[in-house]
Amino acid sequence: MSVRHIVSSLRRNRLMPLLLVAQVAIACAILCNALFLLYQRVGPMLVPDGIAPGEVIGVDQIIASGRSWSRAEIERTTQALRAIPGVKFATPVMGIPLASSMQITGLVAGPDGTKTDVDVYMGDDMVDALGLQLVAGRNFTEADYEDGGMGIGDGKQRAAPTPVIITRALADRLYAHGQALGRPLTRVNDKDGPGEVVVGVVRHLLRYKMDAAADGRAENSVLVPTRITGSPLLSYAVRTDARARGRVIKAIPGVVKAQLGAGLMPGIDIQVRGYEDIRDGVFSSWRAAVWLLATVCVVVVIVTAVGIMGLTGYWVQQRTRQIGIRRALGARRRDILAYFLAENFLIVGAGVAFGMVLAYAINLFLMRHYELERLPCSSLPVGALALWVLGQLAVLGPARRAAAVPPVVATRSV
Amino acid sequence: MLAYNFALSWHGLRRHPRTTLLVVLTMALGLASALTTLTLLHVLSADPLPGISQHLYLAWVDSRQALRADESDDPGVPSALTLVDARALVAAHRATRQAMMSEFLQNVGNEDGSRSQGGQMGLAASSELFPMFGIPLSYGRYWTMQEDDAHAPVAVIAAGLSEKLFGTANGVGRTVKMNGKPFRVIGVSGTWAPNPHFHQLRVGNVFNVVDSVFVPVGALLDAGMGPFMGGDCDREVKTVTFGKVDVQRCRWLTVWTQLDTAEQVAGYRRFLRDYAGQQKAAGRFERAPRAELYGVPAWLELNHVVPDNVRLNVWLAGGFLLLCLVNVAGLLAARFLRRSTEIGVRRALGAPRRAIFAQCLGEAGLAGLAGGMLALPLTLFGLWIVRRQNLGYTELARLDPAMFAALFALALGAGVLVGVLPAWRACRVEPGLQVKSA
Repeated sequence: MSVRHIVSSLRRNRLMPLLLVAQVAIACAILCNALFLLYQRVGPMLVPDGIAPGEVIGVDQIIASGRSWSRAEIERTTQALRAIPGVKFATPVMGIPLASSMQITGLVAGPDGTKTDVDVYMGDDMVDALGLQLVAGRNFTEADYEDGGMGIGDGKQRAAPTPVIITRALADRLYAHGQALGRPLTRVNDKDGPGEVVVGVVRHLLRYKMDAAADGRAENSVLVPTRITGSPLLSYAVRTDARARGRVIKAIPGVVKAQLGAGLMPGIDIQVRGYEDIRDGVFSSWRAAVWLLATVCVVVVIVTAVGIMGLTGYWVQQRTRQIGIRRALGARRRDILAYFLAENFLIVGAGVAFGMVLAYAINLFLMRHYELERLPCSSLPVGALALWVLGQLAVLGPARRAAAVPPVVATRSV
Repeated sequence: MLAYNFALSWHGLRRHPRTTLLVVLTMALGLASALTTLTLLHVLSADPLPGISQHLYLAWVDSRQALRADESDDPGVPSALTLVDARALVAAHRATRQAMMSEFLQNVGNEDGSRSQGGQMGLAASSELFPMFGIPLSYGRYWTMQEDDAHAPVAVIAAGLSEKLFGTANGVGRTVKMNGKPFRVIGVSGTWAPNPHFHQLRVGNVFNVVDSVFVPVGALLDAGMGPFMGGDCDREVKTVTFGKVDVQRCRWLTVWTQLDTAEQVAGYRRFLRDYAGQQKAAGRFERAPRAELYGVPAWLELNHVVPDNVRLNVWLAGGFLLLCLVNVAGLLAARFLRRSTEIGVRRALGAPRRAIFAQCLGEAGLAGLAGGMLALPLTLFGLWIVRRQNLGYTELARLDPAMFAALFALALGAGVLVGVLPAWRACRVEPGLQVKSA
């Protein structure tokens, strides 16, 4: 039984195979793109966040009305927060993982010129306040800190390179063998300054803006030792005993208002949330997208399988007499089975070929109109293989029915 | 004949209940997913001010400082002007109507402070805002251009706010206090809540935002208040502030204009370009002269007001509907061709091809309608799921009569469309061959 025979038989009745090819092509195009989108959404959700579980609270949106918070006000509020029973660390920060209403981003380069965008965390003792794990190097020391904040310290240059702590993922991305300690980290848009030097590496720390974190850049985070001394927008990272956290969350708004009350921007509520709630909030819309895409994939698979089964079923029935003749002429059951499997393989193959082109075209279109990444070439064969397997499974039933046709059928109505 | 065809189609549908069910179900799934995503897109891209927005244009000239080598441009769509430029554009009066505006956030209280409403969104604007945007007036009056120039401490408040502060919808003649300063209430506005909040997109959520206080720009500044966000400032302004603005160095006002004809639009565009050129020549503008005039649809598009995800899902659902349609076409073809013998007999007895075609198409259309019927509850279910997402815009996802009608048009159209190919194939069955082999 050669391919030529199958093709010539397909050419005699074109409508059915064409419909099948069209169906497989569309399914392949949807599946490749949906799987890719799914992969992009699921990836960052699986990255461990490295935050001490159950202990961290993010306090955000402490906004000053018409001015900046002063050094004294910030200091006072920090002391008041530290005085709440159960609080282990409380520190003013610029940037809370996944929660910041303000973003400090930058473009950095490693020694070999590899560039990537990062989110910058500024604050005092963030490693302890967030419960991060140092895997190499050291934490910041008193001498490392400089005054800063939103719009504070601009234009002022440090004499020596700024010590920074980066994540292991970023170290692996920018440095050979992840050996980052003591190496420079260059800010691409700051060529004159003394630059930055890596003094420590933490196991994990997510960025604070997840939208941009697709494609393995979820942990592009850099910690910069800064004592926040002035900013119109203030955030705190607070770490507590796990048991005391609920109580502390309830106490914080009152404590902050007691210190800063009159200067707070009216109508903006201070956001105080446990880190896990922040994470849930960010990922809830992601989870919805993941569910949607997963459902689309499953339904596409089911609809396609049903379609293949329906069409092949009819087709086998149409050719009952021919099958009978072949059986009468000596074809074995498995020859018939093999024939239908091979036929399906060819049809699905044609569909997949068109489908991959279509998938790629759709991806190009989506890339142009929506900020999507290029479909990796590896996702095409995955979609193709899935459809091939699906096709073979779907045709198995009808093909077995065909193989069961007794030779006597051929003699019956002639 | 029509009734006969219909009866035949109906009869045909009932003959193979299993594949009929499959056809209807596949059809319903495809239609429901397409309609759910389309409904969300439809409500999100609805015209914010029907009948008015097509004449509205945002006018902008580039007054930003020249970029230094280590700076990069704000990736957003620049739209803000300094007070000087906004005043100049409004005073030039080259459009039918024009107004400058900026959003602010304040606690609003009554005279003695016994009642107060926290965090009210307000619009500081110039006087032509009201007629230009068609803001309805329940009581009192709007402020005048003279009051604009005089920085008169007057306010127009929403009926809801008046009710809460004064216990009556007609608060005209009373006084509201913001930042400790009194504003005389001269008018009470009726319901006016364009969705999306197209005229001020910078503040947080752009859907379901309601402006409840309107005051003249000069009066806001005189009372020591400012826009919610400090705006885009020159680099000499070191710190960002909220609720206050460096009037000289920051761009924080947007100017909207009403231009009724294409000539007016072209004329205004020329005027803006000339203005930018003059300011550049006078040394006030640092960058190359640039002027933009955005219509409302273009403005919403540029700012990605409809989230990309929503459009992406429409494409996804569209692709899925296409898959379902091809699938149904295959199932229908198999169905019709299974009946080749009968068709042969009908043809041999004198039925024209047309009749066969009509019968098959009727059956496909009926299946499509049945699918549409089933798609309705599925769509409602889908929208219910969407509303539960709570992403700030999702609660808007409801089926309106237009979408309801679209569902049935879509269902019938889809049914007939997928029926054409199989029906055409079926009506080409050779009568002789079929009758012989029966």
